[in-house]
Amino acid sequence: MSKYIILGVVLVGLAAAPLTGDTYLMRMATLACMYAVMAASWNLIGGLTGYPSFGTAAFFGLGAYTSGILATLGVALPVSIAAAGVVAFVVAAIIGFILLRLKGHYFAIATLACVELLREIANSATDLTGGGMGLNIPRNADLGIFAEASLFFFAMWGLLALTAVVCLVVERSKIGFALSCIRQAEGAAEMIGINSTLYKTLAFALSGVFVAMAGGVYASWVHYIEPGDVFDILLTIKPVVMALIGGVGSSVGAIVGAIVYIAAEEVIWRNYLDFSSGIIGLTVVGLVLFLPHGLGSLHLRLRGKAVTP
Amino acid sequence: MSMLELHGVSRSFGGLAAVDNVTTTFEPGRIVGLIGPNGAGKTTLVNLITGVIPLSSGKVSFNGQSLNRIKPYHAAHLGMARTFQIVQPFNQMDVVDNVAAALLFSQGGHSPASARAAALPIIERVGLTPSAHKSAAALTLAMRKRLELAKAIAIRPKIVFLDEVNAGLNSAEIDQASRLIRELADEGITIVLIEHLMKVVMSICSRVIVLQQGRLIADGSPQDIARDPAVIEAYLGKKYLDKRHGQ
Amino acid sequence: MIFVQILVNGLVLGSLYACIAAGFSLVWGVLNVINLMHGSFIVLGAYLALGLYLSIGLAPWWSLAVAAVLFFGIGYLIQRFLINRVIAAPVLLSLTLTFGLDLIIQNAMLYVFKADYRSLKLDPALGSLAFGSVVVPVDRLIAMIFALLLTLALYIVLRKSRVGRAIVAVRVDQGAARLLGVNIPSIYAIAFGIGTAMAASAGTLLALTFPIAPVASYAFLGKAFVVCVLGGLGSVPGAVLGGLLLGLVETFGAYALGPEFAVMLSFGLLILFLVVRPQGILGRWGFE
Repeated sequence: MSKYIILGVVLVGLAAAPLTGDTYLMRMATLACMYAVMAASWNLIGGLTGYPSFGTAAFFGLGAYTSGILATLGVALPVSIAAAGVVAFVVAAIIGFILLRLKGHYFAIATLACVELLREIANSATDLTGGGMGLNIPRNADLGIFAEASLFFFAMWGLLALTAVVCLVVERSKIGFALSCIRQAEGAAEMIGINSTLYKTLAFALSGVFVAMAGGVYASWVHYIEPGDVFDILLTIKPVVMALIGGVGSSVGAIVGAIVYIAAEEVIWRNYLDFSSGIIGLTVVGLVLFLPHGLGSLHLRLRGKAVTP
Repeated sequence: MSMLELHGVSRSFGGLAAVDNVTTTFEPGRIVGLIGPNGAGKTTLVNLITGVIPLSSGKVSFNGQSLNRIKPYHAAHLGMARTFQIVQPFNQMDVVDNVAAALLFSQGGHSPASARAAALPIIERVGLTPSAHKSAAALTLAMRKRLELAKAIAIRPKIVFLDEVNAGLNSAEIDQASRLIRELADEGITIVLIEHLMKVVMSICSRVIVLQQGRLIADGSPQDIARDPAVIEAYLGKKYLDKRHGQ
Repeated sequence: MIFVQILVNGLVLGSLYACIAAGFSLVWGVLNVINLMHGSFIVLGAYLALGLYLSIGLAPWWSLAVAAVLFFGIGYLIQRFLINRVIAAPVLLSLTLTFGLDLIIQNAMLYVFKADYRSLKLDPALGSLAFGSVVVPVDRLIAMIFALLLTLALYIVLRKSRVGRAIVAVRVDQGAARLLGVNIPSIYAIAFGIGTAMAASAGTLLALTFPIAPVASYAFLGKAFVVCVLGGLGSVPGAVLGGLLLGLVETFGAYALGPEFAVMLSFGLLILFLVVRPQGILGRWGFE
């Protein structure tokens, strides 16, 4: 039960951000929600199913461009974001069906290559995406700075709540059971009647949907996207690190990991600008070597128990 | 009509025939021993029947239905179960969840909760009740073999391929397993027993088929097989046979 | 004639790619580690060549030897004390570890060398050789020759030396190698050291032909991925074949479709190979 309590506290805590009236704090909270969506989504395929996907940025960019292009055509925000989710589901299902026969490093590299490929397509499809010049996304209406910040915060927050609910339902359902079997012994899973291709593809497609919707919200939030920005490799790596912080396999862990990461990154950025990425690197190295099961295993470490990677 | 029919089943890996033109049938409710020297293609044959690897040529049909392009999960749905020579439990789950998974995904009508409840009698049957809530990783080898058997039973199979379920067990454990195998056969389940222990094959099988270098070289009652010169040659070498005939 | 010119350009580029990928392939194939620092080691090697040339006038192809020795040591230590600790863990952890280490190296490079691109201009310039209408810049030719020699050296080390044979034994059958008394962690560290040395040495040669900046590492890393998958993992001939193929595909692709399609082409090829023939042209599977 405790994970539901943690999730409730996190969501309520984040929702308090607008009450402060501080746009900076709201920006950070929006960013935290965005990454939490991505980390929880990654956990579906990377944590639950055990396929190390590095394709998160592909779906983020796909969603950002789908929604952004629709917005330039005058489509309303909720519709364009829903469309981003649908497009990502279909594309992820196709990619997943093809690539999920690969395992381990091969799968990781194939998904990474998808990010590169989509970025290059966005770069060259100038008519549609504006290419390297980027794409300006019109504002829906002049709301004023704070109202607009609130709008996008709640859009991201709502998306996080939706993602969290879907992830928890999946984890508890027959689908989650099947994914867990596939992670532990795929051959044996097939042999007891699990259609592993179907379930893996479903997990991969679901992991793409919310990431793409977050990309859609992001595009409207920042009003301008370019391929290097929304297909950034860091958008692929950070959610993995966040899930590691929270302990791979738990969606609530991934969400908490995302918030911890964003908060830590901001503190480091503000205080040690020149060395920020190095310090983040040190943190990642320390995490992998000393707390491979996430912050949740800290109490084991402190009690002197062995924590092997 | 036979339950499972193989017709000219072949599979080669890089030009080498692992299973070569095997034709045979399996009837309901019998215990069939599948024996042969190491590398004879026994496990490959099971892999071909259950769809783990595709056939190079030939035909497999199960209750009249062609299985040629089948996937392993589909084989499970049709009522074919197998255990692995190297056991493959879901290590991070307990025994109940391991068996519940087999119930949940091999047949409709279960939720995870109801599958867990239905798993208990099967666990009882293989004698794992005291360890029901232990994680599979914590079981001894003998217990993991029994868990494999429980998962196979949970599928409600019409035919079960048991790949070396007795390897590494002591004689009391083997007797226990043999009893369970006989019970299953009495319920009408066909058992195909891949086995190295001749004592087990002789005592519980009503029919034995022998593979050598991918080819089916003998098929008959355990007594006939034990006297078959081709089988003796396959196991003990030509020299042994010549010597015996010379006496 | 343009065809021959493109062919030559492709082979020059391909030889450098082969050299970049050979060490990466070794580490992936033997240790089951994807070393995300590989690109950064290449860039560091290039900076070393640049620094030695500007300070004491040492030509890059001589810096190569310095880079090889220095970076063998660095790689050995990184593997021995850091990566060996997660070598048995799931793929995800070693991948994340090398990513974290790469962030640190990248940050250090940005701080020391700054973000802008720099190139090594030999003075006096070496000019070009012309064969009919086919023109080959001499510095590129030298880089190509040294890249091929370096790759050949790796091949010979793996084939002929005791250590090399131990590395190959560990790749083929770790259990048997251990039984034969091979010290696996030490072999891992040596293999990683060789991989690192190959990267930095390749970097000294790349300094002759490519502008260098810390961010350039990612492009090199990407090439290493593609070459490994094309050629097949863990084998030097595979890396050479994959490297030359990628070089040719990129130059001919750029000519036929336009230079902006070169990257797309290489990653498209990567995905295609992963799906259709993940064991690469030479049919060698790596670890999954």
